[in-house]
Amino acid sequence: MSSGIRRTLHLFALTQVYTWKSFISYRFQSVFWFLSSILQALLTFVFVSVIYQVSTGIPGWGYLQMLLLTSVTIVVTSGVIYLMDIYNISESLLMGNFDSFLTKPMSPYFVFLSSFTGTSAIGGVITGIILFAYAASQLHFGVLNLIAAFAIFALGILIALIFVMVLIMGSYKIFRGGGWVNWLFSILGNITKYPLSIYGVIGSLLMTFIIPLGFASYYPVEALSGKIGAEGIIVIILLAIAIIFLLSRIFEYLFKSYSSAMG
Amino acid sequence: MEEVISVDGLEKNFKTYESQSGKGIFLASLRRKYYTKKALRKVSFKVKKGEMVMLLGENGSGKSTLIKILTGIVHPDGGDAKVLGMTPWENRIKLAWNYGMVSGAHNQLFWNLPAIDTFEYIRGLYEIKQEDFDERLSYFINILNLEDVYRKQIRTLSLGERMKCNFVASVLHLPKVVFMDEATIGMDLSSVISLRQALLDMQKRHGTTFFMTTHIVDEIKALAEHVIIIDKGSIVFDGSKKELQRFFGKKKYLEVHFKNKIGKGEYPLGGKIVDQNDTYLKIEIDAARLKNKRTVALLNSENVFDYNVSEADIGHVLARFYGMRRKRR
Amino acid sequence: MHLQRYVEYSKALIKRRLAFKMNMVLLMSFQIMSPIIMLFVWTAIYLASGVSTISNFTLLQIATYFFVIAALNAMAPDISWGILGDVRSGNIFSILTRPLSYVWVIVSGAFANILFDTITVGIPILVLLVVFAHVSLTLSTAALFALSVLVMLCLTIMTEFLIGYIAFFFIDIGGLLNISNFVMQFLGGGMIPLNLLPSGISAVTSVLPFQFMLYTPAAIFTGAVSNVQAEQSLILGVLWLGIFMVLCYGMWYAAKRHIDAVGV
Repeated sequence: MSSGIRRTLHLFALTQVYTWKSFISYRFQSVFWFLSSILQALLTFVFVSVIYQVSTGIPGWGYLQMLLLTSVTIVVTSGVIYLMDIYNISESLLMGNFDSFLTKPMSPYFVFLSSFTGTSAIGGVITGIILFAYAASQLHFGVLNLIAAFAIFALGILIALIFVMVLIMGSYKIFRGGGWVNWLFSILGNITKYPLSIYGVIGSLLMTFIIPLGFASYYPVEALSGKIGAEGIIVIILLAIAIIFLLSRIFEYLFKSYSSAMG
Repeated sequence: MEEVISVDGLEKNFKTYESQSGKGIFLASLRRKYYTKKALRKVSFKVKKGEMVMLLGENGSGKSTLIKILTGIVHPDGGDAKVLGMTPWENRIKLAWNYGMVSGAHNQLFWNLPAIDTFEYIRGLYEIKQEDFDERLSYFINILNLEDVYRKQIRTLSLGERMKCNFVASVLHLPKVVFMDEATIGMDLSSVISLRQALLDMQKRHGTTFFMTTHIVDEIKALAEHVIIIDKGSIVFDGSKKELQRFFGKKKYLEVHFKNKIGKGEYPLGGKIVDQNDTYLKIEIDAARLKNKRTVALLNSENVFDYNVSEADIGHVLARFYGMRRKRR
Repeated sequence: MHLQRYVEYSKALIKRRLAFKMNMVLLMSFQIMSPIIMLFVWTAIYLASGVSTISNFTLLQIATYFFVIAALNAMAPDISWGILGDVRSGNIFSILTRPLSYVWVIVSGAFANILFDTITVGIPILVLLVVFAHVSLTLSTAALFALSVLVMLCLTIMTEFLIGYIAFFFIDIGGLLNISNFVMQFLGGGMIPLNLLPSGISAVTSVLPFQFMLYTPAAIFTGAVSNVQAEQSLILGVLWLGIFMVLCYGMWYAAKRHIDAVGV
C-alpha cells in the first residue's frame, strides 16, 4: 500500500494505458468516433466564423476572443467526457457494474475519473487546443493574465468534473437512471460556448452559482483578455474554491446515500 | 480458529417505489407509491478462517445485499459486521486490499483485450511483486487450464473461459476472503470442475476463506462445508452440510424399473411416492425400511427389471426446506 | 406483407414510449433548449449590429427558424441508430424469430415514431410559433410547408435507412452515424440558415438533398423565401426524392435478402 498521490497518478496512468490499448484494438470503429469528435469541434468553429462574417458578432467580443472562448469550451466539454463518459457511467450504475469497481481499493472519485474514459473525446480536446493556439497566437496577453486564467481554468475543470459527478449520482438517486445527464451536459456545453453576458444577469448568475460550468471557460477567457481586474480574479478564485468544497460535500453525501440505498 | 467474518444482528431496509405508469398522461406518472422492503432482518452468523461457506436462498432473499454489505459497498441500517476485524462500510478501501470479489453477472475484464492485460492491470492495482505475479499467474493458468486462453481477446472467449479469467483477476492478489456471487452461472461442466479444484487448492494452500452464493445443487454437494440458508431476509439454517441433511432424518430414495405395466398399489413398498409412471416408481423411504424382508422380497420378484437406491438429494432437502418455511407462515 | 401485424407492432412501440413519460418530458425540454440558446445568441448579435435584417432574416424570423428546426429534428425518425441498437443488442434476432420482416418493422416503426413526435412535439411547437411569433401563414404557404415536410420526412427515412444499412456490416458504427448526423445537420441548415453561409458553400448546399431535410421547410414556415422560390426549390426536392427512391429500391432488395433470408 504505497501512499496517496503517487499511487493515484501511477494507477491513473495504468488505466489510461489499457483504455488506449482497448481503443486501438477497436481500430476501424475508433477512427470514426475520433473523427466525429473532431468534426463536432470544427463545426463550432465554422459557426462562430460565419456569425462574425455576416455580422459584427457578439457585443464586446472580437472574433479572436470569441474563438478563444469557444475553443476553451470545446476543450472543457470534451475533456470532461474524456475523463468521465457520462453515458457509460449511467449505464454501469443501472446495470450494477459500477459496484464491481467499488470492490477494488479505489476511492469513489478515482473510480469516476479513471474507469469510464470516453477515449474518442480526445479528438475534441486536441481540436480545441489547436483552435485555441491559433487564436492565442494572434493576440497578446500579459503574463499575469495568463497565470490567472490558468488558475481559474484548473479550478473550473475541477468544478465541472465534480458537478457532473453530482449530476450523475443525483439523477441516479432520484430517477434510478441518468442517460439524460448526457443530454443535459451537452446542452450546458452549448450554453457555455457563448459569453455568459448574453444570457442577462439572471442567466449569468445561474451559470455561475447553480450550474457552475462558466468557471472552466468563460471566466478564464475573461481573465485572459483582461476583461476582469485583479480584485475580480481573486473573488472568482475564492468563489471557485468554495464551490469545489460545497460540491464535493454534496457528492460525498450522494455517494453515501447511494451505498445505503442500493441492493 | 480465528473468525474471518462475524455478523451480528444485521438489518437492511430498502425504500422502493412503484411509479404509476400507464395511469394518466404526465403528472400521475411522477407520483410514486413508496414502500419499505426488509432485505435483511437481524442476520447473525460467524465464519471461521479457511471455511468454505455457501449462502443459499431463493432470488430476492437478501443474498446479494448481504454480500454487498460485507464488501463495504452498502451501508446497513442496523447491527454490526466485521470482516477481517474491520467494519466493511467504514473501511471499504482498506478492506478491499484483503478480499476478492467474483461476480458471475459482472466481469471486470477489458472486453477488447486479452485477459493477460487485465491481469497486468490488477498487478499494478494491488502492487503485486513481479515474481509473485508470475508465480501466481502460472499457478492459476495451470490449474484452470487457461494456457490457450489468456492471450486471446476476451470477447472471443466462451462464457466459461471468461468466467475463469474473471476469477483469476479477482484473486491474483491472494485475498484472505473471497466473495463469490453466483460465480459459476452459465458455465460449462469442465470449467466448473477446474474452478472447484482451484477453490479447494487455494483453501488448502493459503487457508483462503470462501463465501459464496449459488443456485446450483451440484456446487453445494461438491464444495459446501458450512451452509447458511436465508429466506426473506432471515437466516433459517446455519450449520454444516451434514447437519442440513440430518435435519430431515435419514431418508433414501428407491427407484424401481419394471418389465411390465404395474397397477396402482401393486407394490406396497411403503414410504412416499415421489415419481411414478406405468413401469417406474420412485419412493422416498426410511433407510431402515429398505432392509425389511418384505421390501427385499418385493424387489426380487419377477417383474422387477432393475432398482437403484440413492441418498436424499441436497436439492430435495432444500426444496423441502423452502416449502416448509412457506407453509409455516 | 400482413399489414395488421405491423400496425400492432407500431401500437406497441407507441405504448412503450408513453410508458417512459419522464424521459419524454426531459427529452422535450432539452430539445427546446437549443433554439432558446440560439435566441439569446442572435438577439445579442442583432442588438450589436444595429441592423434589422441579416440575409433576409429579421431577428424574429431567425429565432422562429431555429424553433422550426427543433420541431423538424424531433419529428425526423432515428432509423439508423435504431438499426445499430437492434444489431448490437441482438434484438434483431428476437424480431426475426417472429413472423415479421425486419425491413417492414423498421418502416412501420418509423411511421409510428413520426406520428408520435409530430403530435407531441412538432405540432405544439408550430402552433406556439404561429400564436406567439406572429408567423402569418397564408393557405398556400401552409400547403407548401406541409408538402416540404412530407418531402423532408421521406428523404430522411430513406437517408437514415441507407446509413443504417451499414450497421449490418460492422459491430459498432456509432462514430460514423455521428459524423453523418453532424454533416446532415450542417448541410441541412440546422446550425446556420443556409443562405447565411459564404456564397461558395451556399451554392453547393443549394443543389444537395440535405437542404430539404431542414432548411427548406423552416425557411418556408418563417417566410424567408417567397412562395415562388419555394415551389422552384421543391421541384428539385421531388427530383432528389426520385433519386433516393431508386437508390433505396436497390438497397431494399439487397437488405431484404441480407437481413430476412440470411438472418444477418
